[in-house]
Amino acid sequence: MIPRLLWKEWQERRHWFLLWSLSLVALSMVGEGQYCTENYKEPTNWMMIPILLALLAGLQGYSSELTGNRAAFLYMRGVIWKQVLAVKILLGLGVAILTAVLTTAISVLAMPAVYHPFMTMKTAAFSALFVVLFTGGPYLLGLCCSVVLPGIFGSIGTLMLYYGGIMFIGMLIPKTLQITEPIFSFIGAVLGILAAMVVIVRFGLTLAWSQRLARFAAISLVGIGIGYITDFTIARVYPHAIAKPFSREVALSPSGRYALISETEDGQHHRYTFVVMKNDKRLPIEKADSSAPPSWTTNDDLVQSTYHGTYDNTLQLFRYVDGHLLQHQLNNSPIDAQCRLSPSPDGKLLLADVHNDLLVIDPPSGSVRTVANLDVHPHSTKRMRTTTYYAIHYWWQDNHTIGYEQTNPSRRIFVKVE
Amino acid sequence: MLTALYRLCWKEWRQSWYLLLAALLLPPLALRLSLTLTPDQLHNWEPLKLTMVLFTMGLIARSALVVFPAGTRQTYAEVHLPISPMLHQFLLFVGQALIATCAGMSFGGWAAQQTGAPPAAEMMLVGVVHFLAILFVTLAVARAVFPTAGLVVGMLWAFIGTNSSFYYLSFFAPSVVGEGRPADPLSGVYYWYLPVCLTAALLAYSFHLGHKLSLPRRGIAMGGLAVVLVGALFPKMLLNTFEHQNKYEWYFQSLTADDGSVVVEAGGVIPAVKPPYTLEMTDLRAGHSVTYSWNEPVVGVGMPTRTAVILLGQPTDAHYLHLYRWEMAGNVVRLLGDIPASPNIIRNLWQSSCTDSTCDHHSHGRYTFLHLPSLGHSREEIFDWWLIDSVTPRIQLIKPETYMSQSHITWLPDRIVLTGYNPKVIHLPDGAVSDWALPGEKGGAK
Repeated sequence: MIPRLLWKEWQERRHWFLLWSLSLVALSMVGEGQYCTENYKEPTNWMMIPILLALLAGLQGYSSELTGNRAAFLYMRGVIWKQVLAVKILLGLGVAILTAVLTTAISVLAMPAVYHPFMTMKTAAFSALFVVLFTGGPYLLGLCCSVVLPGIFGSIGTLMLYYGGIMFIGMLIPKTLQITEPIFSFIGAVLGILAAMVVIVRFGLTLAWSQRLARFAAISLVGIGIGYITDFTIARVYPHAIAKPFSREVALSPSGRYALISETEDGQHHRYTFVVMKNDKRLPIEKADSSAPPSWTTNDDLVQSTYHGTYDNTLQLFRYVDGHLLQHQLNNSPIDAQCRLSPSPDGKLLLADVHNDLLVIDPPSGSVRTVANLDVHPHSTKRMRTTTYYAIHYWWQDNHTIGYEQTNPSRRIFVKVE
Repeated sequence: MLTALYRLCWKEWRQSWYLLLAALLLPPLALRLSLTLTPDQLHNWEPLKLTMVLFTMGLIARSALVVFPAGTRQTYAEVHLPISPMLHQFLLFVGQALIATCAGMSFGGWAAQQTGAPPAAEMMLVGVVHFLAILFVTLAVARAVFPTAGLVVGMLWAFIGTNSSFYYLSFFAPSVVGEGRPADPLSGVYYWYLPVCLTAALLAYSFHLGHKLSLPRRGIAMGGLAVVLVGALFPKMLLNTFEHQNKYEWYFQSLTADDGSVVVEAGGVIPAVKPPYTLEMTDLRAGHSVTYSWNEPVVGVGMPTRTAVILLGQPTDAHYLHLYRWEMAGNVVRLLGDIPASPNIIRNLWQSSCTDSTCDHHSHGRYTFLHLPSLGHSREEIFDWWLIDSVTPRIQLIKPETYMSQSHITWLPDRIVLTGYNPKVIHLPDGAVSDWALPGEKGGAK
């Protein structure tokens, strides 16, 4: 009986299966299939097409039996519900596995030759597994949603109701009750819909559509509910077991002697730590502004500029000297976060361009001096004849001299900095 | 005639008074809320999101299922009322459009209150356009095929118009109007879809008014509508293609040495559309400059020394990139080698913002590290990592198909350290890539 059922399923849904399989084969042939090297693990954007077709193949699973009273006819034959269900699942998974093996082989052949040293049997197997999961999963989801309303549009409607219902429940739950990582809610949602499919296939496939819809909604809700309660309970009983959103970034200084650790917890609590690489000495930066991490200058100073207003910013400079992290702060500085700070060759002074003024900053004393006003009028030179684009050039000629280029007429000007 | 029309209006009112009443109540409610709640309160007010979802769903369901019942009611009305079927349809249509307009104006107005940036009138117009588009699509498909199909396609359309998710549907106003993606009613999706949807809806009417179609014919009609709807995107794509074909304009993102004393800029006419592509390297400290012209467009990679620059160039349709080193001393250009690449990828390198982050250079001047668009796939954020030894010279792929999550590059004498998220270290000169960690941490130096 099973081979006959398989033949029946194939006859009924072969177009969807072939579309699913051939689309993936075609993508692999043009080099847009799955990744077969070890590095990247997410699908390409084009993979959405076979995934969608797999979902549609699943959505047609039982919904085709629900049109024209075919389900009742099927169960008048000598088959039991388990055989029908097994055949529908196995055929989809079989197509997923065969397609995965085929497309992995094609992807390997189609990949650039320079990639070959980075591919192993393990990475190719992982790639095939990935295809099985990313097409078999949507197929099963579609199959679950196909047991309620007749026709493929009915199944799509059920899927949308299911998805919309989950989102709707999420909206209704007060934010104070929401959990950080809804692992069990997700598992509950998946198991709930699977259970709904099994129950309806076993007990309700020949009932009225409204009764099937009610059962589907009720069982799905129970699954989501159990998952949510489990999540909530664990979060309450073991608050430390639920990881909070945490991000950590490290920035090594240009010389490699120091590093800055930027840590963010719950998306809003920022911590910065200065690390001396030689002895792993860690110095917390206490008064750094939390809105943006400090950045390195080319001479290993850490600079942070906090924008408050056009001429009302805070500039902080952190410099490691003799085992101590010295901090210099300039309040009400005109220098904002967009400024590029160029240290002098000996690293004592900083040069910045603010609103077309060249400023020299002496961090220890906190003094800021305007040493030149730059000519920034759009001009026509031999370099830029057809555009109003212009660039401002300034540089340290030596430790005590700044050079800048005046553009109209073009000439270099040098200014002594005492 | 007038009596029949009056009865028809009364019938329609009895069938959809709740939705029409709700729609008519929306504008004063929107005004009242806008006056009392702050933008933040409005943005986070759950009942408002719920109202948006329910109303949109209600409109779609009403359009798909009730206005065009599959059973006998529709036929009965058309046969037994002494009125033109076209007038009947028109009346139904106007009723639905009135509801859609009220809802669109209200939600657009709310969006204006929440974001405050664009003028309220403009956002209300966008809201009306959005709701009318949903209505037209639902009507067209429900009429041409069958009501359930109209329901599904209408909902899909609502999701597409609201950034493709049920979740975002609740944030209809800020997502569609505030953040702007399909915000402008005169461009993008709406520019092409709205007139096409209107045409499709009218076509669907004509299908229905002619005679009852068999299911296969309705299937063909559905396919035709789908082709029309999807095909509406192509004129825009074709126009874009013709507009830019063979008109790639070459710009050059200027390069500056670390101390700012040497700059490399476009030296000829820019934007350039044909050779020569000329660059000028100026030593501002010494007041000296040199120029060089290429026959292919070039992109700056970096400056390995104060007076040398690494460049990438690509002839038209070539499957490789030329890697050049240009020295100011003697104004010499040396071809270091070729890197396999997709044809015309150089255009992406200079046109996209990734130009700045695509390449970096070794401070000692011998090695160059590049992350170029992946050879294997067209996904934009996936890169191939290349290491170039300009002394040997050797070009080596060190890591293919990689997501670039590292934002800081530190050049040390024997290695390159890429920090940020998921830090990596590239060992010189063999190009081995491994994870990197701080001293004392797991995987870090002891």
